[in-house]
Amino acid sequence: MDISQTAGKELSGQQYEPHAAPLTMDEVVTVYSRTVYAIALAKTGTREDAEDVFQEIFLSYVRKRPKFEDERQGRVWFSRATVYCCKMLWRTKKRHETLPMEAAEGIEFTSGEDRELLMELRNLPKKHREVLELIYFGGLSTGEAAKVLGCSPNAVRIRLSRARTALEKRLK
Amino acid sequence: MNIENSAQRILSANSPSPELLESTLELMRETSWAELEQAPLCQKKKHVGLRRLSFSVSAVAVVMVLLIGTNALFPAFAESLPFIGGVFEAFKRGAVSDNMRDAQNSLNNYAVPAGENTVQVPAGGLGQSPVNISVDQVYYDGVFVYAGLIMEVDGCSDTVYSNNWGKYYNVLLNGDPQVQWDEETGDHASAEGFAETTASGWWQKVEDGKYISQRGFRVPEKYQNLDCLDVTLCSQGIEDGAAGPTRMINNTPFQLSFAVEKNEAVVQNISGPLEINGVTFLSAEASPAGSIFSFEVSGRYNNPLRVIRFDDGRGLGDAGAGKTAELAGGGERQTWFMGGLQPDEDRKVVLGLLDKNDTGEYISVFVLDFQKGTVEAGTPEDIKEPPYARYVCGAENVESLTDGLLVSDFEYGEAKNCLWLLTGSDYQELTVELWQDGQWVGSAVTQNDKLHWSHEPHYMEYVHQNDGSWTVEWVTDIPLNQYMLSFDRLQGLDTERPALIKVIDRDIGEVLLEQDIEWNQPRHNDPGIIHPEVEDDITKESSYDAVSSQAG
Repeated sequence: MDISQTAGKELSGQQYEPHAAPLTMDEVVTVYSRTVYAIALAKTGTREDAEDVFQEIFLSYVRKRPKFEDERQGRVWFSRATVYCCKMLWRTKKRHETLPMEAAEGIEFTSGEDRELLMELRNLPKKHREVLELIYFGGLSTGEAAKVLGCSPNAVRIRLSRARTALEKRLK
Repeated sequence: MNIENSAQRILSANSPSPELLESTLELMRETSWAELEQAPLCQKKKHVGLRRLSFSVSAVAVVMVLLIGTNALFPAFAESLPFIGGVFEAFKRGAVSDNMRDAQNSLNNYAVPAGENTVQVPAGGLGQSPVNISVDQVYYDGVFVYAGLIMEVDGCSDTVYSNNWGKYYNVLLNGDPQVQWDEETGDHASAEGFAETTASGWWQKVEDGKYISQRGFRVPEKYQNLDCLDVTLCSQGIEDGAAGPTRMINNTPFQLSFAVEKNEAVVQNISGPLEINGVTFLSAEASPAGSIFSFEVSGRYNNPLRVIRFDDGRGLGDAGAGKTAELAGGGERQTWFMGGLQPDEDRKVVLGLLDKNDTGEYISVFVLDFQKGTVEAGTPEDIKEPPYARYVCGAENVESLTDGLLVSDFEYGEAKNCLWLLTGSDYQELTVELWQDGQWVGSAVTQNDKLHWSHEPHYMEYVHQNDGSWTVEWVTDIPLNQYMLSFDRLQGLDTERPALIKVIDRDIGEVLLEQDIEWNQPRHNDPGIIHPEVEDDITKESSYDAVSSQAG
């Protein structure tokens, strides 16, 4: 796959359309649920944890009521919140050491190679993993991923290229 | 491997569930109202499963947009099936347990035709379509009522729902409304003892222009065990959410009325109360079509996870709905709807509450014997793992295969199973049969699409080590092709005994391969499996708060 083609491409299935009027709660869930759930699924690796994170994020939205100028800004906010919430979840699990995270638990796969990809993704270094989670799963553009990760779009492209190479090497 | 495609496949097969969307929206509304009223709201996180109330129109709208990927998850949903027989026979619930299939079959066996009752609903406005709706089959065992519905409407997609949220939605039993709509809160309240046991108003497409659906209810005591019950289903309209914004197919409210006589199906009861560690079992009822379990959980627990299974680990199947009610003194009452139990079902049902957020241990375990009508205290050991078995052929066999056929992997779980078949040839129409002790157990057929036929085979096995652990081994760059097959149902498969796979050429009936299967792999969550070390993700604090303040 050509990285340059991926950069900036909308993978989320939601076409970007600026919206001036504030979104209703239903619309917010409609617009951002896929991004939140996809990132949570990739980061936690289990359906149950992804569902917990999903609810936390949208409750957090209701409590904070951030205002977005456009859908991109909203997607960045929801993505960052999801990344943070997953970290907190991980930390809690490590502290309690109650239920170990079972990779791919409750996740449906249509092929073994998909399962392999998700498991190998978890074995990548954090820098590589995060950029793949945000772009390939969350559907963020490189610009949006850069805002989430706090780096430049160029840095994201470089990380993406390296991450893809590293993952492909593991999958071979 | 194409990483992007692989990620998209994973996401297509793992969309947020309708229940998750519904419960999230409900929590958002609760939180929002609480803030508006400046009243403190209990911040205890509620798990999605505990909030499975009947669908709201808003959730339906969201679901319609998001379920576009449903076809990948349940291919049968998208198929245009010939509609023969009754609704209960044709209605698909997706990947479900054996017990749930039995329950659906029972429904069909006990159901009776509803008689002529077609309602013609004229188009409610510009761009809308007239619809014809009728009740096809009905079921009433004295406690549970089910109705199989048929709808004819032109120009709709595969993603059609009833609008069951609003002031016109209701269910009348002998003329008495069972649902009350609150204009102020925009919410429904159910009469005591009444519950809808089907999760959504989803319509399954069976032919072009023809859809079927199924509704189920648990009726209050006043309407139980009557010789005949009059039922009226009131709907807000029909919606289509194939892509983009929800399209109203028909927003004209309509009513469907039918009378149903009590059938001979046996309903079994178990009564409590039995209190164990702050969890009180209240009651359970089970008919061949559905079952219901009620218990109360003390407020001192942080959202424990409920487990309801047979004592052999197999599932009853979720009926897709559930209810919670806050208790005055804290805690909540939970009511769960599951698959039915056959009258001769002699397995016990085990109900456990797992303190997943705190201690990670079971708080309470109840063992329910429906044959005796008793409930007793159990132990965590009574809760068995669901059945699971996996066979792999061995990496050396994969690597040495150049031609012919080879079953490389067969993974069996209760709700789904996958068999991978390697071949050196091009695609063929094959039937794969599973046999055990000379008895046929199940059949599957090859399909020539991207999901079921691959030019990039994969193989992974756990290799048993002398110290008892398992290591992971992959074989890559396999110069062969690979089928992936799923058995619709494996009747009576015993995972303790070996099996035989037969691969048959569908055109000429010749048996091309017979391969013995020994279950030789551990459960995927076996603690003995040595996975590569995962990096500790918590290295620094996130700038989340800063982000949210910027965004806000």
